[in-house]
Order: sequence, then C-alpha cells, then structure tokens
Amino acid sequence: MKTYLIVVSLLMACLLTVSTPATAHHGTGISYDLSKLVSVKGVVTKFALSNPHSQLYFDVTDDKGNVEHWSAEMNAPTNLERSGFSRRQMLNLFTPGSEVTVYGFRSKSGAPVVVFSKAVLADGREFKSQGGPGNIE
Amino acid sequence: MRNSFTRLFTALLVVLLVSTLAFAQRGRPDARRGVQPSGPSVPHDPHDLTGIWRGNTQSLSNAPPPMTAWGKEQFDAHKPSYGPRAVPPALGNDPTGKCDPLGYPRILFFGRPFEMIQTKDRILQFFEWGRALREIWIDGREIPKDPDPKWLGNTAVGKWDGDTFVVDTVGFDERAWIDHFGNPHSEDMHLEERYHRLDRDTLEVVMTIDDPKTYTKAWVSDKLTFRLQANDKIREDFCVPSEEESFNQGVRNPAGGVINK
Repeated sequence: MKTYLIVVSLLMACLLTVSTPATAHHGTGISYDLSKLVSVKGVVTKFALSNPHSQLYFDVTDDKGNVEHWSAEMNAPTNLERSGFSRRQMLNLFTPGSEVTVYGFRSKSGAPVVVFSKAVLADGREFKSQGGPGNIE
Repeated sequence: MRNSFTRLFTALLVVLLVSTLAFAQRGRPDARRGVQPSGPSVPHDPHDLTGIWRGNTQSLSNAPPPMTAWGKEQFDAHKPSYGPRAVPPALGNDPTGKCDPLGYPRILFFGRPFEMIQTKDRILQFFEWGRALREIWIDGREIPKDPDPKWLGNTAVGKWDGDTFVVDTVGFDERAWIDHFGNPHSEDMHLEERYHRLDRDTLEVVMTIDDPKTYTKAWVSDKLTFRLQANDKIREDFCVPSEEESFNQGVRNPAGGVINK
C-alpha cells in the first residue's frame, strides 16, 4: 500500500508539474504575503481593465465609520480576454456601489492592497482569479 | 488494497483533467477562425515556421557566463523584480515599469505569444506585447558593420541550415535587459538564434549571445521550447504609460511600501 501511495503521489506531482504552465509574475511574491489569504468586505468604487494588471478599488468602513480605500491587483486584461471575459461583463460585475467581499493576499508593506484571488458579490455572484499567484485553486 | 488504488488512480485522472482544462483556458478558440487540428502527429513542413507560438522560459539559461567588470557594473545597477535579486517593483528599476520596450530577446520571455509570418523576403515576428514587429530578412543581405542600436536589434538576417533556421542579429539598445533578472548586454551584442520545428506543435530555439564587452565567453542557451497555439490569435496588449502610472499610484507603490507623492 505504501508503495502505491508513493508511486501515485510522485505521478501526481509530475503531472501537475508538466500540465501547469510556469509563468513569471512581476514581483508578486516580493510585494505580497502569499502565505496568508485574507478577506475584506467593502463597497466597489472602481474597476479598471487596464495594463499591466486590471485593478479593483473598494472602500471598507469600520465600526466607527472610518473609511479605508483598498485596491486589488487582478489579472492582465489579455488574460481575462483569453478566459472569455469581456470588458462589459467585468464592468457589469464590479459596478460602483456594489457590496463585495474580496479574497486575496495582502501587501507585505501593510498597505490596504491585495493581490486578488476571488470576489463574492452581495447577490452571490463570484469571480475568481484566472491564474497567477492570487489563484487559490 | 485494490479499492484504495482505484480511488487514488481516479484522483490522479481528475488532477490531470482539471490541470489540462486550466491550461486550455489560455488559448480558447477564436470562433471566426474555427478550431484548427492540433497535435504532434499532424504532418508539418519543417521549413514552415508560421503560426502562433508561446513559451514559458524566462531566460537563456539559469547560469549566465562570468561577466566582465563593465558587465558586472551594469548587472549591479539593475534592480529586477524577478529571481533571487527581486525587489518590489516600486523599489526596482525594471525598464518595463515605465513602459520602455522590453527589447530582444527579452520580449520572448514575457509569456505573451508571438506569431511567425512569412513573406517573400522576410520572416516576421509579430509580438502580442506592444503589437511589435521584428523583421528577419531572408533576401540574402548581409548584417551591417556598424549598426545603430535599436530595441529589437538593428538588422536580423536569416537562412536555412538543413531544417534549422539560423538568424543573426546585431545593433541592440543596451538600455534593454536580456531577461527579467536584469542580465545586461552591450550595444556590441551579436545574437544567433537557431529555430527548429521539432514537430507541428513544438518550436525549439537555441540562442547564443556573443558580447565580449559584457561576458567573458559566449552565452549558449538551453533548448528553449515554444508551443503552437493553433486556435489562438494575437490580441491587443500595449504598455500604456498613463495606465502604468495609474496602476503604480493605486497598487504597485503602496504594495511596495512607497508613499505616493
């Protein structure tokens, strides 16, 4: 049984290695703490489908009514396009004023910035990172 | 025992299927072109390099040759955001952070696809990043003796050596880095590329950089592999300075601990 486990584990590791493209990401592992996934609830202020990475901006209000401006680094526009998402779809998803819970990895600097993993909107719609270091699947 | 093995084998198949589907997402078919036949078994002409290609290599090899004093000085001045010397992009000086052209050969290592197009007198490389065009002349001309420096190289000439397409390029702008890791080159760099289409879906490239001002010996690459993206197309992907600045202000600078002015 142990032998089977070892053989199958090795095969799975090999398959993951060859089937997942190794991509370079510009300083992501340096700027963000990729060891800890965080979630932040806020209200969308802007979505920008632009290079080098699209961006989601949202405001988070604490119990005392203080507002903090957050941003999320998302996929490059061509990455979203290749995954089948149009600009209109993205803008319809992240409309200003929508409540959103953003999952991601926070900047090591402590600034209110994450590299994006997933967003869940108040109506239950979800949007996940289309690959890259913010990808949690 | 048998049931456990069956479950593990099933899990293995699921992993393969999921990861293959995830990879396939990167090159969804363009409905206007239709789905092209693919696979290594599809017959190909080894002298036909046309098609859309994509690789995932990041440099010529892991170990550049020893640098000269001048080369080391350039290398130390470069502050990349990739590899062992990586700093947050906000604190680095990668030329692409200001939308400077990537230059050649670095544009090959950027993860975006490029298309090879053949005309009567040239083979063109049409890069998605910046929608840039590199011309490789196949009309028998010679490379110039004292070329002005250009981002993609002043002049590239190509000829067939059996089934290998050999390209010589001179005249490079030394503001460009060779790769994401900040390896430098001088204006005197001579680049040789040897393209070999191994099968329909696989293009292998071996590069040799001869740049005595920067390296004490020639830098010969690993065998770099590019895969045919049979059902993809070249999309618009510009580095737009105003977008870059907006991203820097909203994301890159604060993430790197830099206070916006």
